[in-house]
Amino acid sequence: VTQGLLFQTGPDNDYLPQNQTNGMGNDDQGFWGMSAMTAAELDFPNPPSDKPQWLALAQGVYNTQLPRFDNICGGGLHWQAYSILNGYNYKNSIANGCFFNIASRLAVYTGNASYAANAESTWDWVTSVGFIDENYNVYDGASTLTNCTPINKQQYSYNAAVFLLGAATMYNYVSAKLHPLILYRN
Amino acid sequence: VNKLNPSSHEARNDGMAFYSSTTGPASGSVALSRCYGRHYPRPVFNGYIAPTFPSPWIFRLTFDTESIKAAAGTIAFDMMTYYKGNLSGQTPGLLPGPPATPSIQNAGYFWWEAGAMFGSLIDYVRNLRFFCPPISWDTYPALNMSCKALSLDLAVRTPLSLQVLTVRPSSGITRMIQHITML
Repeated sequence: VTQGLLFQTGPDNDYLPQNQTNGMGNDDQGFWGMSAMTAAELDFPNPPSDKPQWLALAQGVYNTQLPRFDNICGGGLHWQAYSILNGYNYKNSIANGCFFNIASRLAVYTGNASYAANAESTWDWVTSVGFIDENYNVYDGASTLTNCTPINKQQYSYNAAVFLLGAATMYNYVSAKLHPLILYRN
Repeated sequence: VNKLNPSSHEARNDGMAFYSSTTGPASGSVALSRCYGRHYPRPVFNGYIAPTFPSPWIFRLTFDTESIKAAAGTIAFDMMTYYKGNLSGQTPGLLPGPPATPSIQNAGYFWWEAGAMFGSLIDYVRNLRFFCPPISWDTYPALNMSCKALSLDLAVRTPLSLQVLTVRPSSGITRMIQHITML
């Protein structure tokens, strides 16, 4: 497991290996980031000290995705990581959900409020654009060429799942902030 | 039979998941119909019966941990038969694939799917600790394979200064060496 997770980190330890550049989605990168985050949270033995540590890998994913947000459709991440790729003109739940998931867990793990703020703003955008509706249906996404309307209302369980864990984690984060007696780490 | 856990067939003899022999048929589905039938009218919206629970706290669900462990172990073992990245000449971290475009079913896996696989595997391995009995050197011989592996992991990662409070070092080290030589 450690060998596989380390081999795919890419030269900058952010899960952007050059072999995957021609199809790199923010969600693809995000899945590897979520796995590294799981390793950190569950205290999976860290790699040797000359290799990147689990937390740093999750942060690498977060730090490379944060600058990719733009104001098309009012916010959010594109599906694909780079503008030359097919699918860049699509903003979707899974790309933003993976980011929301990692950001919320980094907030709880590190206690750093900036992660929580960006998780919250991502949630706010996804709900305002209508990818998550008032009944918590999670739809797939929409084209940026048409200002994210109409929405593709396909529903996939992984979309709901990444938001569910992120939302539960934010609940824990906020609860811990509200109750100073609760010492919270994982 | 679960190949990771050869003794797990014993746990499977009691039949269905979510069925506890100690509490009888108070499994998920039965308890659900009861709570609709006896305590609440089943909610109806727009002509169809809502599948939601009217009240979560009267919903009683009993878990058979042996069954969960056996099922998870079976799936984890099967999942890893797909992974060849640890073999000579293969690329670590990749599953066979990716599928052609347009994708053909069962023709391979995308890069991200391997990433998700490692996360679920870590989840599986690390959460075994919730299913294993309290581990000490006295209980060690009776543990199943998964819990033995976990106890070795804990032993390696726990400083000796903490271990001596709860552990009989001489017998423990002997048994540990016995187990390692068995491997």
